[in-house]
Amino acid sequence: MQPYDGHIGVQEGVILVFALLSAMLFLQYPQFLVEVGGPAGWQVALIMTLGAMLLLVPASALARRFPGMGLAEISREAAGSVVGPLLTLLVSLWLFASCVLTLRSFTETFITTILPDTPPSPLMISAALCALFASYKGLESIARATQILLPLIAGGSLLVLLFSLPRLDVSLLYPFWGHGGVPTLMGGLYYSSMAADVVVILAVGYAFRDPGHLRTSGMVGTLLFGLGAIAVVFVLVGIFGAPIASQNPFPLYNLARLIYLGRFLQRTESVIVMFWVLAALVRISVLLHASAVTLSGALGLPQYRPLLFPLAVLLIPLALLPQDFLTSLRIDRDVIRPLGFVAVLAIPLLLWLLALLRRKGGKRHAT
Amino acid sequence: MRHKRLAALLLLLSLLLTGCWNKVEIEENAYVLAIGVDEGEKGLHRITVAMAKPDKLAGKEGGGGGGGDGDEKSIVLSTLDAPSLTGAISMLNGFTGRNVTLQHAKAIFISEEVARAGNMKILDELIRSREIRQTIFFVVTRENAADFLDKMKATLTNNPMRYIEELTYNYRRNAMLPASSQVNTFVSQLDVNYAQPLTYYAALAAEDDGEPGEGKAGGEAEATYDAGDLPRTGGSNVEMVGGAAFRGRKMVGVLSADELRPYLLLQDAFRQAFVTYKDPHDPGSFVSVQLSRGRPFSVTVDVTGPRPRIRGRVSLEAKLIGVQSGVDYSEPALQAELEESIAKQIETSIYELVKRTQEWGSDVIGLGRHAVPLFNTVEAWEAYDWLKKYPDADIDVEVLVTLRRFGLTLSPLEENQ
Repeated sequence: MQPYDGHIGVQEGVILVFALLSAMLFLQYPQFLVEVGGPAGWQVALIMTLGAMLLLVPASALARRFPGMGLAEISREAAGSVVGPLLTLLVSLWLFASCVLTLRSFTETFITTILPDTPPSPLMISAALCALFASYKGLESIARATQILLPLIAGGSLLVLLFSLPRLDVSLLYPFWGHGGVPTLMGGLYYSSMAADVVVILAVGYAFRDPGHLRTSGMVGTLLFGLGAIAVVFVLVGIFGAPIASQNPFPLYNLARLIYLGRFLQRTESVIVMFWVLAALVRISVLLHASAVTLSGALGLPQYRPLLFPLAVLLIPLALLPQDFLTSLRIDRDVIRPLGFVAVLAIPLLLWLLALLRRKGGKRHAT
Repeated sequence: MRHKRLAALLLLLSLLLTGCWNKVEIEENAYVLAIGVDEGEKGLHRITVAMAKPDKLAGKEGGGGGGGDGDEKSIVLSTLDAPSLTGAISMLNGFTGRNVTLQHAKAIFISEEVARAGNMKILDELIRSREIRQTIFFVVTRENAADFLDKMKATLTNNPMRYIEELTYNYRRNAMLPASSQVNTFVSQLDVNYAQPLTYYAALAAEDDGEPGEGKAGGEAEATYDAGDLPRTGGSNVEMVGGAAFRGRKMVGVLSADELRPYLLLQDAFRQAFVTYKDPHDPGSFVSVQLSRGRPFSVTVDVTGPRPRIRGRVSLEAKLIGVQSGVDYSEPALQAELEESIAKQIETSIYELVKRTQEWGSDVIGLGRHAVPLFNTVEAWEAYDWLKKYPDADIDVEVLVTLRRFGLTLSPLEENQ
């Protein structure tokens, strides 16, 4: 078990999950939802939310069976000392890959939108250093910092959506069923892997005093993220129309650029950029922390901190590997997101079944 | 303590990071306020940029404006033939002496010649560029855009683009312009299948000979004025009324100032307007009213037949401003008669507008937006092909006018009666 680096309650858990997932709404993910659903992109977001909440069921069941344990300990307990660490390693690799692509996506968005002359490496190094520092301080520190930052991030994004409303054309949200029920349903289920990063809470399950807190944090955080996704997609399609919205990898930034209330209020994107930076840092920090924790668990190390610096160093060259922005988008959409089902659904489900078969966990571990 | 010192040192060091790559001093930039696009030689675009002279813009109000004389000009114009906007900016940097930036561009002026040819290759740059905001005004000019920018004279302000912005407010006050004509709205309407773009249309007034022109009024109550034809003298030489109608990327016609009123009514974007109508009791006289929006435009569309059928109801409120004939329209029977007469005149203008847009084969009004909810899926909607069916649509609109107020006196002057 990881040494004590703080506990988090339901409130911090919800905030952590919401911040971790909602940072994706600044990136290309709303565009993916519109691509599948067309004018009914918001329905895809709705199904994605419900699907994502369902994905959490095995993780919640595992946490209930093994209270006070993180994924690494649960794996070792349920699947043994050979298979268990391997499964943890898979989750760790996926979390790290997600972290790498998040770093690349945010770097690309900064360069494309506000810092066109800045090379990517200084941005990546700055972000990696911040994430390294936050991860080193531990989960509780990240959660508390997020508690302070989240109102800024969420409030700022909400204001962008509200100020965009005068431009909203409801007709753009028709035909109501978009490309039809089946593509919407399948697309929604496919993109429920957008919330696969929520497996982070299982990775750091030891930080929750009560397994019920973990479940509530995951469910409520995912639900809030889903509501945010529905709102962003709704406004995005209602303003740009589905054809343009589906080609829009910087949704909130582009919405902020359109805010034009006469001479009174315009050029608000400079404000959204600030929230963007904060959201990116929170997400990268959480993912780096969870990657290190799971990796140390898989390797049987007593401490995750020695792994942080090597991981942070690896993060940068790996983020630079995709040759262009589009390649990184495609890798994320076609490889990393589908593999999210393995991380958040298949592995926890397998571990739960193994625990059942091998009669591990349950009352024996009840606190 | 050691940590605090380290944190303080890092904070101080962060000050050094501010100007690494994207640092720009304000005076290093040349700020483009407006872009003009004309046909150039050998298939190139002729790009004109109006760059701000900050010291002149900050001068006293009411100066020479954009087209002021000699040294009083607040903008510098440069025109060059280039394959693209980026190419033009690149060339501009070769002789401007400052870094030319589009971050403060307020409007793009496309000449009617370019618009009618549908040569809108520049659009992609407008959408992709991080410098250009999609909220910049999209204006079609009757003249060459270069001439327009060169000769335009703003009055009451030094900043010609602020003047253009102020003209756009005319939509709210007098319903003589489209509700919006920005790059974003133009591009969005190219992609939806239920409407076509209608943009601002501007022209330079004829040389001022001290006599108001005739327009196309011909004694009608409501003159059909296009931009550039207003019967007037004095003031700025820029007229921005009516709109340029597009079918896809190609301009197909011009809507006049008073055709914009029924256009806005059918779009449910009408706010208010001061309008003069023929007096039902005295065809030689006019009645002036202030029209404002009543109930929202209600509309039903039937797409089951071979031709779409549209039934609509426009509800307006009116305030009487002037009655030249001296008829006392505060009498209930006469009031009803006047309401009906105004409603009929508006109905006529609506049918004329619809007829013109159907002739152009362009649903610039966006009536298709009322049809699209009738289709369940994008595929079904696309198969219906609204834009092809629109020219044959059967449209019937009922107008209801309610005279709510009669001004500060209820009855006309005794001598008029």
